[in-house]
Amino acid sequence: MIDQAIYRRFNHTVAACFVIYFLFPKYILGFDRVYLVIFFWLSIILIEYFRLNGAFTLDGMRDYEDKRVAGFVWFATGTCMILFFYEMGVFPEIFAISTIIMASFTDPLIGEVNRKYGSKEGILAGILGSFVIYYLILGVLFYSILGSIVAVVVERPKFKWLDDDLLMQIFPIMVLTIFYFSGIGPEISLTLENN
Amino acid sequence: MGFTKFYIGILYLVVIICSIIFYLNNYYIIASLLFLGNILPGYKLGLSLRDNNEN
Repeated sequence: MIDQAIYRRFNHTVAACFVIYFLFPKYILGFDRVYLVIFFWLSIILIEYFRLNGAFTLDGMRDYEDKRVAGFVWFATGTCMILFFYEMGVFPEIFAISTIIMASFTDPLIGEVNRKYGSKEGILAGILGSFVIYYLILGVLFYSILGSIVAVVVERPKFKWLDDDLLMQIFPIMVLTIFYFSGIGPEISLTLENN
Repeated sequence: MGFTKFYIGILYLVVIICSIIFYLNNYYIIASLLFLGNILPGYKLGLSLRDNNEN
Protein backbone atom coordinates (compact mmCIF):
# COMPACT_ATOMS: atom_id res chain seq x y z
CA MET A 1 0.00 0.00 0.00
CA ILE A 2 1.39 3.40 -0.92
CA ASP A 3 1.64 6.15 1.70
CA GLN A 4 -1.88 7.58 1.65
CA ALA A 5 -0.92 10.94 3.18
CA ILE A 6 1.80 11.54 0.58
CA TYR A 7 -0.55 10.42 -2.18
CA ARG A 8 -3.11 12.95 -0.95
CA ARG A 9 -0.49 15.73 -0.78
CA PHE A 10 0.70 15.02 -4.31
CA ASN A 11 -2.84 15.11 -5.66
CA HIS A 12 -3.23 18.47 -3.95
CA THR A 13 -0.05 20.02 -5.34
CA VAL A 14 -0.71 18.73 -8.85
CA ALA A 15 -3.99 20.67 -8.74
CA ALA A 16 -1.89 23.81 -9.32
CA CYS A 17 -1.74 22.65 -12.95
CA PHE A 18 -5.39 23.71 -13.31
CA VAL A 19 -3.96 27.11 -14.27
CA ILE A 20 -3.15 25.65 -17.68
CA TYR A 21 -6.79 26.58 -18.37
CA PHE A 22 -5.67 30.19 -18.85
CA LEU A 23 -3.59 29.17 -21.85
CA PHE A 24 -6.52 27.40 -23.54
CA PRO A 25 -8.09 29.11 -26.54
CA LYS A 26 -11.35 30.94 -25.81
CA TYR A 27 -13.29 28.50 -27.97
CA ILE A 28 -12.63 24.76 -28.05
CA LEU A 29 -14.33 22.85 -30.90
CA GLY A 30 -16.72 25.77 -31.27
CA PHE A 31 -17.72 25.82 -27.58
CA ASP A 32 -16.78 28.51 -25.09
CA ARG A 33 -14.13 27.13 -22.76
CA VAL A 34 -16.31 27.87 -19.74
CA TYR A 35 -18.34 24.78 -20.70
CA LEU A 36 -15.19 22.76 -20.02
CA VAL A 37 -15.25 24.05 -16.44
CA ILE A 38 -18.90 23.09 -16.03
CA PHE A 39 -18.34 19.67 -17.61
CA PHE A 40 -15.31 19.03 -15.40
CA TRP A 41 -17.18 20.02 -12.24
CA LEU A 42 -20.18 17.83 -13.10
CA SER A 43 -17.81 14.91 -13.74
CA ILE A 44 -16.27 15.37 -10.29
CA ILE A 45 -19.72 15.48 -8.69
CA LEU A 46 -20.71 12.31 -10.56
CA ILE A 47 -17.56 10.48 -9.41
CA GLU A 48 -18.21 11.61 -5.83
CA TYR A 49 -21.84 10.52 -6.02
CA PHE A 50 -20.84 6.98 -7.01
CA ARG A 51 -18.01 6.89 -4.46
CA LEU A 52 -20.32 7.90 -1.61
CA ASN A 53 -22.78 5.23 -2.73
CA GLY A 54 -20.06 2.60 -2.52
CA ALA A 55 -19.79 1.89 -6.24
CA PHE A 56 -15.99 2.02 -5.91
CA THR A 57 -13.29 3.13 -3.51
CA LEU A 58 -10.56 5.67 -4.15
CA ASP A 59 -7.06 5.68 -2.70
CA GLY A 60 -6.02 8.61 -0.54
CA MET A 61 -9.35 9.17 1.20
CA ARG A 62 -9.44 10.03 4.89
CA ASP A 63 -11.45 7.71 7.17
CA TYR A 64 -14.13 10.32 7.86
CA GLU A 65 -14.58 10.89 4.12
CA ASP A 66 -16.36 7.54 3.79
CA LYS A 67 -19.65 9.28 4.57
CA ARG A 68 -18.72 12.84 3.73
CA VAL A 69 -17.90 14.89 0.66
CA ALA A 70 -14.18 14.38 -0.06
CA GLY A 71 -11.53 17.10 -0.11
CA PHE A 72 -10.92 16.80 -3.85
CA VAL A 73 -14.55 17.73 -4.52
CA TRP A 74 -14.23 20.87 -2.39
CA PHE A 75 -10.99 21.84 -4.07
CA ALA A 76 -12.37 21.27 -7.57
CA THR A 77 -15.48 23.26 -6.62
CA GLY A 78 -13.35 26.18 -5.43
CA THR A 79 -11.22 26.13 -8.56
CA CYS A 80 -14.23 25.82 -10.87
CA MET A 81 -15.92 28.72 -9.07
CA ILE A 82 -12.81 30.86 -9.58
CA LEU A 83 -12.62 29.93 -13.27
CA PHE A 84 -16.34 30.47 -13.76
CA PHE A 85 -16.35 33.90 -12.11
CA TYR A 86 -13.18 34.80 -13.98
CA GLU A 87 -15.02 34.07 -17.23
CA MET A 88 -17.92 36.20 -15.99
CA GLY A 89 -15.45 39.06 -15.53
CA VAL A 90 -15.66 39.08 -11.73
CA PHE A 91 -12.17 37.91 -10.76
CA PRO A 92 -9.05 39.27 -12.51
CA GLU A 93 -6.85 36.72 -14.25
CA ILE A 94 -3.77 37.37 -12.14
CA PHE A 95 -5.65 36.91 -8.86
CA ALA A 96 -7.24 33.72 -10.17
CA ILE A 97 -3.93 32.17 -11.20
CA SER A 98 -2.06 33.15 -8.07
CA THR A 99 -4.86 31.98 -5.76
CA ILE A 100 -5.23 28.56 -7.40
CA ILE A 101 -1.47 27.94 -7.20
CA MET A 102 -1.29 29.31 -3.67
CA ALA A 103 -4.15 27.09 -2.41
CA SER A 104 -2.70 24.01 -4.12
CA PHE A 105 0.64 24.32 -2.39
CA THR A 106 -0.18 26.01 0.91
CA ASP A 107 -2.81 23.63 2.25
CA PRO A 108 -0.58 20.53 2.06
CA LEU A 109 2.33 22.60 3.38
CA ILE A 110 0.31 23.59 6.46
CA GLY A 111 -0.85 20.01 6.91
CA GLU A 112 2.69 18.60 6.81
CA VAL A 113 4.15 21.26 9.12
CA ASN A 114 1.22 20.85 11.55
CA ARG A 115 1.83 17.12 11.66
CA LYS A 116 5.59 17.32 12.13
CA TYR A 117 6.13 20.48 14.18
CA GLY A 118 2.82 21.75 15.55
CA SER A 119 0.00 24.15 14.92
CA LYS A 120 1.82 27.47 15.43
CA GLU A 121 4.58 26.42 13.07
CA GLY A 122 1.87 25.38 10.60
CA ILE A 123 0.40 28.87 10.68
CA LEU A 124 3.82 30.44 10.14
CA ALA A 125 4.66 28.08 7.31
CA GLY A 126 1.27 28.76 5.72
CA ILE A 127 1.68 32.52 5.86
CA LEU A 128 5.24 32.36 4.58
CA GLY A 129 4.47 29.86 1.82
CA SER A 130 1.40 31.67 0.54
CA PHE A 131 3.15 35.03 0.76
CA VAL A 132 6.08 33.80 -1.35
CA ILE A 133 3.75 32.35 -3.99
CA TYR A 134 1.60 35.46 -4.15
CA TYR A 135 4.62 37.74 -4.26
CA LEU A 136 6.34 35.76 -7.02
CA ILE A 137 3.24 35.97 -9.21
CA LEU A 138 1.69 39.32 -8.25
CA GLY A 139 4.88 41.20 -7.36
CA VAL A 140 2.94 43.55 -5.07
CA LEU A 141 3.63 43.44 -1.35
CA PHE A 142 0.17 44.69 -0.33
CA TYR A 143 -1.79 41.93 -2.08
CA SER A 144 0.75 39.28 -1.11
CA ILE A 145 0.47 40.05 2.59
CA LEU A 146 -3.31 40.43 2.45
CA GLY A 147 -3.85 37.24 0.45
CA SER A 148 -1.55 35.13 2.59
CA ILE A 149 -3.16 36.25 5.86
CA VAL A 150 -6.69 35.64 4.59
CA ALA A 151 -5.72 32.21 3.23
CA VAL A 152 -4.30 31.04 6.55
CA VAL A 153 -7.10 32.56 8.65
CA VAL A 154 -9.81 30.72 6.70
CA GLU A 155 -7.81 27.49 6.76
CA ARG A 156 -8.03 27.27 10.56
CA PRO A 157 -11.70 26.66 11.41
CA LYS A 158 -12.92 23.11 10.76
CA PHE A 159 -16.51 22.65 9.61
CA LYS A 160 -18.21 19.37 8.91
CA TRP A 161 -19.92 20.47 5.72
CA LEU A 162 -17.48 23.09 4.45
CA ASP A 163 -13.85 22.39 3.71
CA ASP A 164 -10.77 24.59 3.82
CA ASP A 165 -9.93 23.46 0.26
CA LEU A 166 -12.83 25.61 -0.90
CA LEU A 167 -12.46 28.46 1.61
CA MET A 168 -8.74 28.90 0.93
CA GLN A 169 -9.53 29.74 -2.67
CA ILE A 170 -12.73 31.73 -2.48
CA PHE A 171 -11.98 34.04 0.42
CA PRO A 172 -8.50 35.26 -0.57
CA ILE A 173 -9.52 35.98 -4.17
CA MET A 174 -12.69 37.76 -3.03
CA VAL A 175 -10.76 39.95 -0.60
CA LEU A 176 -8.04 40.75 -3.16
CA THR A 177 -10.64 41.59 -5.80
CA ILE A 178 -12.65 43.80 -3.44
CA PHE A 179 -9.55 45.69 -2.33
CA TYR A 180 -8.43 46.18 -5.92
CA PHE A 181 -11.75 47.35 -7.36
CA SER A 182 -12.58 49.52 -4.35
CA GLY A 183 -9.36 51.41 -4.98
CA ILE A 184 -7.93 50.64 -1.54
CA GLY A 185 -5.29 48.34 -3.00
CA PRO A 186 -2.52 49.58 -5.29
CA GLU A 187 -2.56 49.27 -9.09
CA ILE A 188 -1.49 45.95 -10.51
CA SER A 189 -1.36 44.36 -13.96
CA LEU A 190 -4.46 42.16 -14.06
CA THR A 191 -3.25 39.80 -16.75
CA LEU A 192 -0.56 37.17 -16.96
CA GLU A 193 1.49 39.21 -19.40
CA ASN A 194 4.23 40.40 -17.02
CA ASN A 195 5.10 36.99 -15.64
CA MET B 1 -3.60 -0.56 -7.13
CA GLY B 2 -2.93 -0.88 -10.85
CA PHE B 3 -5.25 1.98 -11.59
CA THR B 4 -3.66 4.13 -8.87
CA LYS B 5 -0.19 3.58 -10.36
CA PHE B 6 -1.48 4.48 -13.80
CA TYR B 7 -3.17 7.58 -12.37
CA ILE B 8 0.02 8.65 -10.57
CA GLY B 9 1.90 8.29 -13.86
CA ILE B 10 -0.65 10.58 -15.49
CA LEU B 11 -0.15 13.12 -12.68
CA TYR B 12 3.63 13.14 -13.22
CA LEU B 13 3.03 13.71 -16.92
CA VAL B 14 0.57 16.52 -16.25
CA VAL B 15 3.09 18.36 -14.07
CA ILE B 16 5.89 18.00 -16.62
CA ILE B 17 3.75 18.96 -19.62
CA CYS B 18 2.13 21.96 -17.89
CA SER B 19 5.52 23.24 -16.69
CA ILE B 20 6.96 22.92 -20.19
CA ILE B 21 3.97 24.69 -21.76
CA PHE B 22 4.21 27.63 -19.35
CA TYR B 23 7.97 27.76 -19.90
CA LEU B 24 7.57 27.79 -23.69
CA ASN B 25 5.05 30.62 -23.36
CA ASN B 26 7.65 32.63 -21.41
CA TYR B 27 5.82 32.38 -18.09
CA TYR B 28 8.94 31.31 -16.27
CA ILE B 29 7.77 32.01 -12.73
CA ILE B 30 4.61 29.95 -13.07
CA ALA B 31 6.49 27.16 -14.86
CA SER B 32 9.04 27.08 -12.04
CA LEU B 33 6.36 27.14 -9.34
CA LEU B 34 4.48 24.24 -10.92
CA PHE B 35 7.63 22.18 -11.26
CA LEU B 36 9.32 23.00 -7.95
CA GLY B 37 6.10 22.81 -5.94
CA ASN B 38 5.54 19.26 -7.10
CA ILE B 39 9.08 17.98 -6.79
CA LEU B 40 9.05 17.08 -3.10
CA PRO B 41 5.63 15.40 -2.89
CA GLY B 42 6.30 13.72 -6.26
CA TYR B 43 9.64 12.41 -5.06
CA LYS B 44 8.20 11.18 -1.76
CA LEU B 45 5.38 9.44 -3.59
CA GLY B 46 7.91 7.84 -5.94
CA LEU B 47 9.80 6.48 -2.93
CA SER B 48 6.56 5.18 -1.45
CA LEU B 49 5.72 3.44 -4.74
CA ARG B 50 9.17 1.86 -4.87
CA ASP B 51 8.86 0.58 -1.29
CA ASN B 52 5.43 -0.75 -2.13
CA ASN B 53 6.83 -2.66 -5.12
CA GLU B 54 9.66 -4.13 -3.04
CA ASN B 55 7.17 -5.42 -0.45
